[in-house]
Amino acid sequence: MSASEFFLQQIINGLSVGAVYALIAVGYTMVYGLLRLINFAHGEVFMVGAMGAMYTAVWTGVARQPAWWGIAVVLAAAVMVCCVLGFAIERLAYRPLRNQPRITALITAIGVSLLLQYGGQIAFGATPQAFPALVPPTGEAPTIGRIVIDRVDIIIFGLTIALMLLLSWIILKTRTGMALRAVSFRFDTSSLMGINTDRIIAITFVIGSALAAIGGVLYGIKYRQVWPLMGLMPGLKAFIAAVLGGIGSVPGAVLGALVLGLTEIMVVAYVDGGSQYRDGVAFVILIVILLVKPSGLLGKNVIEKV
Amino acid sequence: MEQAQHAADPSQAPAAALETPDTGEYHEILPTERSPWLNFLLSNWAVPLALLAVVGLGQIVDNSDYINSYYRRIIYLSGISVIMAVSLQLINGVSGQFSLGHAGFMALGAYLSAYPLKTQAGTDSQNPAGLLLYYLALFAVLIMAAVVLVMLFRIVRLSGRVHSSLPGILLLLLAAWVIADIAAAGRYDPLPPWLLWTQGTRLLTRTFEWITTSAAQPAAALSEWLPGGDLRGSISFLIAILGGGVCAAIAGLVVGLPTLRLRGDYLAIATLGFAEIIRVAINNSVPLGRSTGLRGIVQATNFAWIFCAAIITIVVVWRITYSAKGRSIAAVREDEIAAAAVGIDTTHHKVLAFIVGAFFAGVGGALFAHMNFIIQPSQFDFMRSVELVVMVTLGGLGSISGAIVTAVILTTAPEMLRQFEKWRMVIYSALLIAMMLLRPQGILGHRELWPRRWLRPRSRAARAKEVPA
Repeated sequence: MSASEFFLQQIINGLSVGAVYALIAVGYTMVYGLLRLINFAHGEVFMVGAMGAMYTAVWTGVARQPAWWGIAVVLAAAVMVCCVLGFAIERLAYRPLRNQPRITALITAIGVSLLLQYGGQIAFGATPQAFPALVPPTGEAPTIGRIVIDRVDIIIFGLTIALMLLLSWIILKTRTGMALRAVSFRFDTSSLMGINTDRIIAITFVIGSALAAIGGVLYGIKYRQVWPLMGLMPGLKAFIAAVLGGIGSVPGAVLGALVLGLTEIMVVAYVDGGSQYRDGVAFVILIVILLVKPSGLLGKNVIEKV
Repeated sequence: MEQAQHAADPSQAPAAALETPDTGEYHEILPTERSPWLNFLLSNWAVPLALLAVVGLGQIVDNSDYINSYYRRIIYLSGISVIMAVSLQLINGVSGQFSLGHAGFMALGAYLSAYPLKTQAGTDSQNPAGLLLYYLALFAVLIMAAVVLVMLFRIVRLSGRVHSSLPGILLLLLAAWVIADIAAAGRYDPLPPWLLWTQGTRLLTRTFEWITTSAAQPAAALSEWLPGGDLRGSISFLIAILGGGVCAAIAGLVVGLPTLRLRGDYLAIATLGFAEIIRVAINNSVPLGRSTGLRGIVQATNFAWIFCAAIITIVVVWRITYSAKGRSIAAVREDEIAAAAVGIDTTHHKVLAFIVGAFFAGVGGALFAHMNFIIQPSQFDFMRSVELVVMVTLGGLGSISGAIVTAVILTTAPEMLRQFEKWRMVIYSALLIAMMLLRPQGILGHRELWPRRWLRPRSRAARAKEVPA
């Protein structure tokens, strides 16, 4: 494999990693846009999605006979579980704190995240479990020249793009989306205009959780392993992606996630011992972006006023 | 009424001062002038008393047959938790900045005291001056690197005034350059001049080596001049503790200065990221033992060290909290915009709290390192930071005594409840959520277990009013 082919292969890998981050990052950025809250528990919603998918696959028998419809069933189950979970987290943990200082909500978010992580360790066991192969093994993997494009990567990238188009349709064209934009623009004023802000926030949490669930399933399909602490790193990195793109901006989150995924893969591929630094790179990016352009790549500079 | 009586009595110095017309001269109105050192001692009388008590207690804890090594370890760990929690209280509770990276500072303090003490202080830590030299060289190199990086960031930032997209582009170019630099560095010998990153780090290491080798001889001579034995070893350990603390404080400055301009939740993430970077860096550092850990650490920590450090931490944090600076820090916490409006330099006060907190976290880490035979990066992970946050939050954000009490309880309780180890973090997190929903200010809130005035000196003005009858 020549140098340029190797480079293209890494680009494909990076986009696939970035797409999973994008699915999680959108949930972070939407919630932050509405509530100015870092929903730390979002990474754990992602974990629950992957776990739910694994148990559904085993329970329905999809795990033994991989089929395309099986992926749909598993995705639907994961999405449903996570929608309920996201709704419950918002309703039970965050809504009572709506008028409290933001730090209080932040600590609660950390608490919820820890509860899900360690509750998950008790419920599912602490050791990683194998995620069933859901993609039916038919034929050769498609190739361009000598570059192999894994079917899993095609699914991940295609599904992410489709979901992002769906999301932008919801945000830009529906009444709910309009209300969502209004609430994120001016919280108090929009509630004066007759928008039920609690309902909009709940919808946001449900949408974000659904996307995170899909991200979790795709992560499971790609890496074939799930464990209760799996949400920690992807969650943090997705948050970093959201900050990188400009938190509060949905296209920014997607852009940031793709940039982050590409950077990570490039560091792993081109730097000696790069895989050791993989987790560090994201945080270096975070700190650098906070130093130089805290509003992110696509974010607007908002000055805090009284 | 009292004022009038004093005014009638011309023999009284303050009264005389009151009667003199204001000519712009300075009139000393204090009845007696004490030396400032004596004043300090008198207003902090509790400190030497407590230190004395601790040395006595230390004899009991360290040497008594009734306390076995297991209990001794728990006692030591409680003391270190107190140092960590109180220092975090200054950042999270008093200044209201939410740091999630306290374990990072602890790790820095631990590694940057254990490694130099092990390698630089000579046999039996008999070369304290050599150790001091090592730290001075380290700080000199760090300052050089910091100056270059700050200039670079200034340039990138200022380029935003030319066009708003320039910083992003410059940054991407720089990042690409550094990555290409690191990737290419192994292939060339001698290094081509465009590999600025590698050239720069090489220059820094050479400077460091030059300073340490050229001054090694005088340093050793200086150490010889000190009385030998235990005292020299203790001086080395003190230098190592302070060195670890100062390294952590420098890191606090580096993290704090840029990120504290941001809002609280960004800061939480930035500090978390910083702690993770430290951990990844240690994980990849060959001299620091990578992920298997740093071995052969000098066993220098004992009860007296820990509890002196704990008491100094508590007193310093206490005195900062209830000083004029502390009031400014609290004002920034309550309302940053209002504080800035009344002329408080918000960034300065936030960074101050951050640096002091980081320093004591480093000290705690140093003490922690020297009670273990081996330290590993995994001991300073995100969970450690969260544990400290839980201590501070449950005790009450802003309450120093609350932090002390919860630190001791949360360190000893898991040892008592070994069979529930699996449930420990579940209980922590449930407690945290319940506390935030039911009593967000923590158990004690802003209050303290003892009256605030105990340790507070009376001001000059207050003493001047108490005129002897």
